[in-house]
Amino acid sequence: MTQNEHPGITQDGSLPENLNKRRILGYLKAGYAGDIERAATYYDDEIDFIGYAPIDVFPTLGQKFGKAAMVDSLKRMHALYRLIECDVTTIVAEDNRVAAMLDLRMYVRGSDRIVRMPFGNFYTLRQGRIFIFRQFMDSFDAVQQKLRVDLIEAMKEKA
Amino acid sequence: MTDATRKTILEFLEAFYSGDTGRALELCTDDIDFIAYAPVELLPHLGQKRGKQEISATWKTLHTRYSEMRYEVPHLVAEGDRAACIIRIFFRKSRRDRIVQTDIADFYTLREGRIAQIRQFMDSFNVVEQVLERDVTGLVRQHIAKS
Repeated sequence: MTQNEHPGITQDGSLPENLNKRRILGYLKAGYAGDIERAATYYDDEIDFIGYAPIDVFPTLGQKFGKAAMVDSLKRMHALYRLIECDVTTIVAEDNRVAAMLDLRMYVRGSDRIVRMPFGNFYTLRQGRIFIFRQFMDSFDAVQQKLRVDLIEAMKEKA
Repeated sequence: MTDATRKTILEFLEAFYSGDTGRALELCTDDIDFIAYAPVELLPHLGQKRGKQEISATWKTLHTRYSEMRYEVPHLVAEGDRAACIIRIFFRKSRRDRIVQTDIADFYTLREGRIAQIRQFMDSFNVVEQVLERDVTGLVRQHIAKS
């Protein structure tokens, strides 16, 4: 492992303060910019991911195991959105755990639609790579935005 | 500061989920700013709440609706005056013998040792289905099939 491949490792191999925070920021930058190859270098081979949302609507979320599944999800996400802007509004790091709150703006390909959504992400790193990843969002709102449907009205009609 | 932040958050969670909302409120600033990202039309105790009075009223309603609350904290991270945790909650409904179980995510900012801001995330789609006992997934599948 070289310093270029995995930023934050010092010359003597010690871990500077907030190393894992910097790793997560690097991962977010690469992942949302569409640099999938670079984003994949942050994943542990056995990464365990859960994105808490209905998989009928969001097949790239739900539960995923392994780097290949995560790379596939990233590819599918970038196939749906031509541009993803990410603001990290909060990031908290301690030992091998990092939590980040993000504001995402996702520009849908072939349309002028923008999906806006805050996310809460939790990461546990193993040997400098993301091993456990939990992602939270207002999934009810996410479904409404993705399908362009008023679920509350639909529920009233069904009642 | 990090250890003090962690201690405050754990004490807050224990007080809140055990029903000691008075103690939980003592650990918050007077102008506490709370947002839970969820549809307030369906889950009125969520959304945005400001100040101890509004928070207190909301928490009392919540503890009326659920006769028992249990929780686990599988992930907690603290740094300086900020903390974030995943909380696995088990709420028993007061009117029916049913449990609402889900994982939620809280982000906290403390000011002078008290909680000044909470941002809360959850799988709100799933929570709506559990709380209202409605099959929203079926509605969504119908919509997808039509489109």
